[in-house]
Amino acid sequence: MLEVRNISKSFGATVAVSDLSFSAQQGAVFGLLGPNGAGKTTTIRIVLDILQPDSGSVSWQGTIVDADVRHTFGYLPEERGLYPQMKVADQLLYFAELHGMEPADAKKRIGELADAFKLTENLGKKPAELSKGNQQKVQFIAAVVHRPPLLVLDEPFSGFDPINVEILKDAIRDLVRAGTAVMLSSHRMEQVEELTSDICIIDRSHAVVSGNLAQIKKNWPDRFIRMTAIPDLSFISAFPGASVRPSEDGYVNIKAPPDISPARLLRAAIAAGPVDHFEIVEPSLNDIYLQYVRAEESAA
Amino acid sequence: MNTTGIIIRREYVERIKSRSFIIGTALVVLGLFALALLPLLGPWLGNTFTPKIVIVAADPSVAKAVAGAIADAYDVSISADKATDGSLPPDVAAQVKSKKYDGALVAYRTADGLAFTFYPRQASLLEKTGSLRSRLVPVVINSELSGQAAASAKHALDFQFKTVALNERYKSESEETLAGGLVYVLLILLYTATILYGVQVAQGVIEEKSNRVMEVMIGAVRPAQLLAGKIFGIGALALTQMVIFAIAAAGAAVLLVVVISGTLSHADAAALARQAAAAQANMPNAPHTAGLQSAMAGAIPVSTLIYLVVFFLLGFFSYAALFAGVGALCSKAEDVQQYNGVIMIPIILAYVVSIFAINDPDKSFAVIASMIPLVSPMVMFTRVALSSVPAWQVGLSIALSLAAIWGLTRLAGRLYRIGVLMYGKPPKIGDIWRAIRAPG
Repeated sequence: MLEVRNISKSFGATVAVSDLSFSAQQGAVFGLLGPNGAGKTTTIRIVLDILQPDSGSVSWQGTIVDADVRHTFGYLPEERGLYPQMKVADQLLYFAELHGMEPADAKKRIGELADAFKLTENLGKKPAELSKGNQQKVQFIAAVVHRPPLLVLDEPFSGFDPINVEILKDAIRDLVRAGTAVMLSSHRMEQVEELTSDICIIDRSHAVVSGNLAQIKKNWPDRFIRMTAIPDLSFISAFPGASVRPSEDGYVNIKAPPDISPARLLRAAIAAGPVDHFEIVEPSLNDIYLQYVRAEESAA
Repeated sequence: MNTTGIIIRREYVERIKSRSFIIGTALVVLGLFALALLPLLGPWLGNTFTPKIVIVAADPSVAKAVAGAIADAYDVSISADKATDGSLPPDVAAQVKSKKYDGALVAYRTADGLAFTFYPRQASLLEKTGSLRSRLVPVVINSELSGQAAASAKHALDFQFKTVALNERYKSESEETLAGGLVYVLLILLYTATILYGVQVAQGVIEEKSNRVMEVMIGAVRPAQLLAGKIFGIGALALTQMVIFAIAAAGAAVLLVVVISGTLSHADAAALARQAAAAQANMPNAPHTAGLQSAMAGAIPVSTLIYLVVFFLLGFFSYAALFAGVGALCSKAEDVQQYNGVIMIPIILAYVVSIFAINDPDKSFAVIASMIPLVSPMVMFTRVALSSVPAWQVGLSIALSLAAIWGLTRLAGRLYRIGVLMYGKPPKIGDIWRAIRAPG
């Protein structure tokens, strides 16, 4: 288990991370969420011992993370980088060896991963000759080639097209099933919702909510209702605190505070127009995120 | 293999496979062999150009004596005109102007004796005035003096003067000049190599930063390992290239000897030998050719080569650490300019002091400079190559350099830690100083 306890980090007068604590379990995905500039990348660099926290500690399986421990981790930085003129196969072998793999074992593993990502015919090419999507795949393979017990992914889906996002998600699920602890950061909630089991949302260097995602949803005070989009939604104004978010698929999403009875809402809706569908749903990760993160920040 | 070893191997293998390394090395090797073949071009380059001279003399006996004295170097004709003074007869002047001759030499008598006026058409003939004059000296002596007096006068102009050096290192002045010249060439090599390979270190660091591969690396290995891998990898590359150049230079030298002896076996050989002998008799620096031959035979002393490698490595590692630190602070290659002074001032100082030290290897400024790290590798190399430096001085200089390398590498390590993830504008010297002093 990765345990981050009360870490803080400032750069001069700028506070990047303030008293942040969380943990990431083996066989699960932990999501570090927040808008750009919230302190996600700084936190990740502290976890990987690239930056030293001003206070607090990071431990893996009970041992403080130092160069020897993080040597075993896998890391996909937000800013992707490969040696542009070094052949993909050589490059992957290099990263594998840097993480302590034997060349024979590494070559076998690279072959398997290249196969899984449909990159086999690109192994002899240089990254400069590959498409952006394939470069991203190579980068991901470089992060997992040495079978890391902890895989840290900083904005893993940025730059991927939808098909490759699914390929990547499948790969992450496979690793999690095999017992890997995965920590990922994102500011795109819909992309990580189905992967993460534990989350921590940070905003302006502070944790605003953290814990098991299912628990957070279950204990969420607001009710979220999904119903047919009827032409006249003015009935909502009779329910103080309730708000409407239209969606493009013929439904509307209504957020209602706990003191509003869904039954009253349904009756009012039926009076306003023909309702075919009315459903009380769990809040989405995005709903939770929007609740905590300041509007002007999330626009970024 | 350990982590640093893996990094060294990558730095070395990827660079040695690169097109720029292969082409650059091949060009230098080809250049060395081309230089060795240069003497073959001699005939085309006009080395054997024999100027055509027409002699206008007071009487046939003078004309004959003058022709005999200069016939070895000039294609001589004798004019039918008689010279009464130094002026050029109009018909001869016309012949020279029409390029039948390259110049005219007028030999006439005055109250004091024989006198000459030389009328060269080409500027290049002006250079030969001195040698022409010295060739004419025996003609004058023979015409004015005879018997014992003539012999004495000739002897006064060409007496034996031998130098037997009691210095262990050099047997003659020319040998010392030659050693100085050789050290000068090796110094330029040291200077260029230190800068070229140092710049490669800085570029390597900046490239890793601009490719953003740095963050992947720094997530996997210690900054110190990355730094060491880069410096040792490029150092090994530098040594490889130097060994290739050394082998090529040796091969080119052998080729040069073959080419020269081949050229000499030519019909011109006799003329060349006579020219050489004449030059030796007439010019004070004549032993040059002999010195060249002995240098060709002895080549460069092995100890000088060993010192060259030792001091190259000391210099390279000192500067490579600086270059790496500077590279870590920059995001783009252009940013390096901001810190150029830090690196270039000591290296230019070292070069200039070394040039002065060639003439005075044991002057106090050279002795002091040969102890100061960053400056010392070049200066101490110059001193050991040209003088008998006490062993303790060499040892102290090397020890101080090693200590400096240790310190500079630690400094570079610090700069690396603060710099490798820093993008955007390079920091000011004050910021760097604070960062270096910060704990952790």
